[in-house]
Amino acid sequence: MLILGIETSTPQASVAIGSEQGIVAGALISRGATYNEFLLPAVRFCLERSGLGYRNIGGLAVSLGPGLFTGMRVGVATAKALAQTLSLPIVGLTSLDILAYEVRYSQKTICAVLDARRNEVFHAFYRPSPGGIQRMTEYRVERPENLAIGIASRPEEVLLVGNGALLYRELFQDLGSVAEIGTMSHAFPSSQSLVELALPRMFREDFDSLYDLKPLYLRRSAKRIQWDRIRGSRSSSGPEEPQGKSA
Amino acid sequence: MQRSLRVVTRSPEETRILGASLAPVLLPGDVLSLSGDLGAGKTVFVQGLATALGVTGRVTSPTFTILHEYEGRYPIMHLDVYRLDSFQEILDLGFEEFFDPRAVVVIEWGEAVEQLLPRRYLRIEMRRTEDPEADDDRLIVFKPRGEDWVRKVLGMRDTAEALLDAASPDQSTGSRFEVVAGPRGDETRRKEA
Repeated sequence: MLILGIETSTPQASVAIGSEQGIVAGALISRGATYNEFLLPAVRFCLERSGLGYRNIGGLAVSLGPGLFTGMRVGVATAKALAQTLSLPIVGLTSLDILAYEVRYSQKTICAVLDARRNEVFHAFYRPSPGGIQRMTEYRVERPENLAIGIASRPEEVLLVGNGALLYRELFQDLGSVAEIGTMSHAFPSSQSLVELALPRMFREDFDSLYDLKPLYLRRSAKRIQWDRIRGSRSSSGPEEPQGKSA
Repeated sequence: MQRSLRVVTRSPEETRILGASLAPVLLPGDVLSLSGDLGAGKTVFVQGLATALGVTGRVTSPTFTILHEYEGRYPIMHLDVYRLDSFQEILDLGFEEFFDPRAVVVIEWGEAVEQLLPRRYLRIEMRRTEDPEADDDRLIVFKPRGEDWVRKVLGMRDTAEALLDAASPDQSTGSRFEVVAGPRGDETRRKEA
């Protein structure tokens, strides 16, 4: 069964088409085009160049993040639209699971770390298990300093992968030999691994509900902006007119 | 250390020059928070800044559109959170992505969402002066957050003094910039988020 995988939750967007026999086509980009500009033309490129059509696709796999907001929205919305119009099953997987899965051959504890911007990272810990990986912690968004402390307090060696691990490399390397940093080919979750991870679920018919599938937003806030305090403190300075005519 | 730099501009043109003076010290990844009531000159300031950063198109207030993106020497993200009420609304806009390390980010009323801002940024407050005779006068206070911003603000002052003197040589009566050592009463306490 051919699966179309869409991974656009990080700055490196990619699509891949593959089955249990291997990946047949893929496209990847990490600068220039926006997610929207990249995604459907990339799918078309993969289909056309491999002599396939949408009718050959048997299922959709999409990365739900955590990751960059726009990318997650574009990826999930596009995958859902394709699944609905083509009447195909869909499976959602997380960016951190995909990232950790790619280094499953390590014997170490794996920490998948993606840059969440604003001095924070998304992360989760995994242990290698026969045939794959097993997630040990919740998906979290946290300051890298705190993650570094968490890693230092673990008794075992940890392999850190992802662009967050590379970005805050110095913080993690200060931990000495306890932390190993994955290289740039493991900086981002790939759509090829996404396809590989989705295949067993497709065969088990462990599909996601098209209507319930949502990006994984880790940042939530119920806080209201204290406008009274902010505006009130400086609204006492006269009538509200533009400065001069050209304002 | 909380030091701030105060200056009074006498016209929109001077506010524009002040904005332009900030351009040479800005680098991708820098974040500015700009606050001040309607008519305080925020848009004029950003126009000066954007033009000096090579933006050729029109720069307008994003109050009702929330986000404007400009292409200059760097991408410039100009946003205004004034019309938003909750932190969730801001997150739902993909706020974290606006902090593109390749872009310069200007947030109007950024102090309202200070918890969401990076630790180092430049806060700029603009208001009318107390003088009712001087309708075009604006008091502009630069409040650097982080030592590198202190240096950048002083660099901006040197540029601004030269440009303002060149624009109106007859009014030159020494420096109109005043460095104020904090903490001041109107400083907002900065929490380590």
